[in-house]
Amino acid sequence: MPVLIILMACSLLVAAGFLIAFIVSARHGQFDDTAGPAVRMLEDSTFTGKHILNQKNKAHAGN
Amino acid sequence: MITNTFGRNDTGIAMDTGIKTLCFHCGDVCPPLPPHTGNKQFCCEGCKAVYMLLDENELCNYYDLNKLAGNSMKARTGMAKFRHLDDEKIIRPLFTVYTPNLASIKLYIPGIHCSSCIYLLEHLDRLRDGVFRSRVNFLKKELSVDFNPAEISFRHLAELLTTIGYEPQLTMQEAGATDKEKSAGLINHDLITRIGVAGFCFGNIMLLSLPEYFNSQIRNEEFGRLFMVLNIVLAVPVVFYGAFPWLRSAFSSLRNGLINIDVPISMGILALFMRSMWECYSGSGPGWFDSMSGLVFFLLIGRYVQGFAFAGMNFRRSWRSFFPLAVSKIEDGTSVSIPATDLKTGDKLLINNREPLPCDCILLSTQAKIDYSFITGESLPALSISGAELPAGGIVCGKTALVQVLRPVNESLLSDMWNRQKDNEKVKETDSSRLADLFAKWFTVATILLAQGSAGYWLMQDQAGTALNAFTAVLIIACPCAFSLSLPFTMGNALVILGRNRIFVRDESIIQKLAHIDHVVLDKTGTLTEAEKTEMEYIGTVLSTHELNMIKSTAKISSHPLCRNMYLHLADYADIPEPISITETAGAGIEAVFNGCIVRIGNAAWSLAPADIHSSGLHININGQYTGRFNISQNLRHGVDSALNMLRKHYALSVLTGDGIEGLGVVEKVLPDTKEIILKAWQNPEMKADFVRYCRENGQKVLMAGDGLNDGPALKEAYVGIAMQSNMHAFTPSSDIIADAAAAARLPQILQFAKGCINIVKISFLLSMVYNGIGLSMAMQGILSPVFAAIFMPVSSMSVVGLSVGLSTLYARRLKF
Repeated sequence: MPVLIILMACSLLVAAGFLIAFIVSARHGQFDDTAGPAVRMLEDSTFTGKHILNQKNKAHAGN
Repeated sequence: MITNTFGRNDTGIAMDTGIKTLCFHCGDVCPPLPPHTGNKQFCCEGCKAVYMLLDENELCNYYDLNKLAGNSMKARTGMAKFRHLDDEKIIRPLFTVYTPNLASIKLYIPGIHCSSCIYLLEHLDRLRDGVFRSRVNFLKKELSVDFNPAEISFRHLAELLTTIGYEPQLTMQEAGATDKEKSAGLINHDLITRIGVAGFCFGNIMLLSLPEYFNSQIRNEEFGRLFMVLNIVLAVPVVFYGAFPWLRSAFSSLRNGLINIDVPISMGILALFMRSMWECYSGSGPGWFDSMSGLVFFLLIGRYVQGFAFAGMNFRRSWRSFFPLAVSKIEDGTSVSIPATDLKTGDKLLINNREPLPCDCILLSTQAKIDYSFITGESLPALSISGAELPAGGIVCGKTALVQVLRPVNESLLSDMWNRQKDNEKVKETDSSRLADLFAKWFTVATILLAQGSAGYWLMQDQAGTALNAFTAVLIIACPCAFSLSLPFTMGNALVILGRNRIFVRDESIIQKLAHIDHVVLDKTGTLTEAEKTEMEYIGTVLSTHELNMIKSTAKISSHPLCRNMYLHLADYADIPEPISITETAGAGIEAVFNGCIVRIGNAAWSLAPADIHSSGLHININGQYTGRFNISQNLRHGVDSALNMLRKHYALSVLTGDGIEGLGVVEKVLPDTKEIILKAWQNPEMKADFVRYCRENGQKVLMAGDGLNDGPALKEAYVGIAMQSNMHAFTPSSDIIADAAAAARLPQILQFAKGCINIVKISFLLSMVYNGIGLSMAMQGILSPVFAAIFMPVSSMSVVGLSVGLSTLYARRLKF
């Protein structure tokens, strides 16, 4: 049964690790905006770089 | 009716207009020949420009995320106001970091409203080089940007944001914000940390206590002892960190000789902790750490729900947020930007079109048009001539005005008015009787009496052990945790439901106050009626089409707002060549000479109306012949008529207006009779406030609904003040509730909902009393076991929370919120 003590110590340590991670993230404001991240994950990346070409074309036209 | 003011922002009725084309960008109704590109049509060139910009930069995902997501570009003011942003001295206080190659700033952007906004604003770097990173805080409507000032100046950044419809708010308020205000929200970090710690301890204590539930002898074994020690170690942070807000509040209220709801809660928590420690020490039991940590954890969650507020809504505005960051001062013949707070008497200022006067001034230009609608409610700009004294807060219309400072900003009449209101605020806060604190008083006394009584009973039976058990058990089980959870959860839920209907309530105590209202005072202009949507009606001899064409062309030239309204009213008539000559006499009217025809539009005297006609409106004279007048009438907002009739059944009702007595006709029309209804015309801001104060001093609890700054003093004076605006993100006076203008029609439902919420709290309170009764009867007999408490207390709390959230949601659905 002494193995239980080791197990418990481990489990508490792991849990405490998560607690510390949580506190650090809370202090860094990761829980400030609860609405934004839910919206952000819906974004698709449709970026193809066309606009950079556009800008270059414009620059050429300017010259 | 003029239909071009339909907007998604008003009531969402734009979709109902059927055949009308809606602007692809903002959803406003398009004019007959809309600007277009490809098959997409727009309401104005501004919207089209935004679309083109986004299309060019492959950001059209903006329109896929939400249909008609854009902010309307029609009402944009010029970019001239950003000219001050080139001055580093002035903008420096706005930044958190400002180095030659990196600048960080947080901008409040009222226009942020949906996921498309977030998408666009977070891809600013694609629109312009020099932006490193942009991040939106949706709840606060805040954009934080890191950029390279060498590549893109702050002025250009502000202009870019304005071009795409997200104008940042840059006022004196922002510049004067202290670092503390800038980093507001740290309190929230604190609460979240407490929840984390309490949750961690709660979970582990539950696990460590589990063996005890099945085998009560385990605590005498090796593991049992270890578990107990671990429990104590974990319980200490729960009490002294997690429950600290309650202990502190209870302590400070006791020191002031008061009892608030936190006192019985703290008593319960401390009784639990002390008794558990004693049991562990004496070996008589496993302690109640599991119940205690669970209780604290749930209390913290309740506080989190309660604290849910609308950070993007600014309920306590000061006059500072009305004024720009800086003004143009004339110094040695050149104009320099200086912060308005640095102005001294005698300074000369240039005020551009659509800019407000920052302080009381004297006009130096020959003449200027000043719009005081915000201060007085008077909708027409007043014409002032050289030498006139101009009070702060007026907005210059048309030509740039040169003015000289009469009184510095802090001494001006406007800030004076505001500061006087502040004194009233204190009076208002103290007379709010909070349900919870009222309840706390007798509850605490009753609990202590019961605990002593049962202890006394067992002492008389010579059972000191049971007496101590019963005493602490009563304190523990009577802890009004269910009650203190039902209040925040019901009110928090109500806040969210109302917020979804664009009614933003400052905090939960306002809902309790709403339930006590017995007198409803309404401002007419802008609240019951739509200031921007007026109806015109022609009275007089019939006009030919050609004559109407001429009137329209004349109205087009005039800068007078009534003429502009008439121009829109006559939109269906043809545009004919411009008149040969125009004479506009300020304060009287306009005369236009067409080919062989003279048209005069103006007041009665100007158009040579017969002596018996001296009503307001636009009088028309064609070729020296008076033909008739265009009467202006305002329409009640949709649904306001039935709302008024419902309100009068249950409440004393008053309608105030800054307009003349004829302005009340529109209200009288919808009421069967005006008995017992107070209608007051010609009310200035002070009179409105005096009226509300008079009602309050007669013991009435007044709800004041108004818009604009002119109702500001009355809103503050009232028991509950609602600011109603069609554009909620525009400047609103300080108030308890900020609501969409359409909410005027729903006032009866809002009041009913508030009352319902209070009843729901009372029902949950009854349920929690039943639970307490069961628990108490066991506690007094001394047979309450820790295992039973560990299950009973969370179950009772959770069922009370479920009941209050469920009932309030159902009730809201019944009222069609």
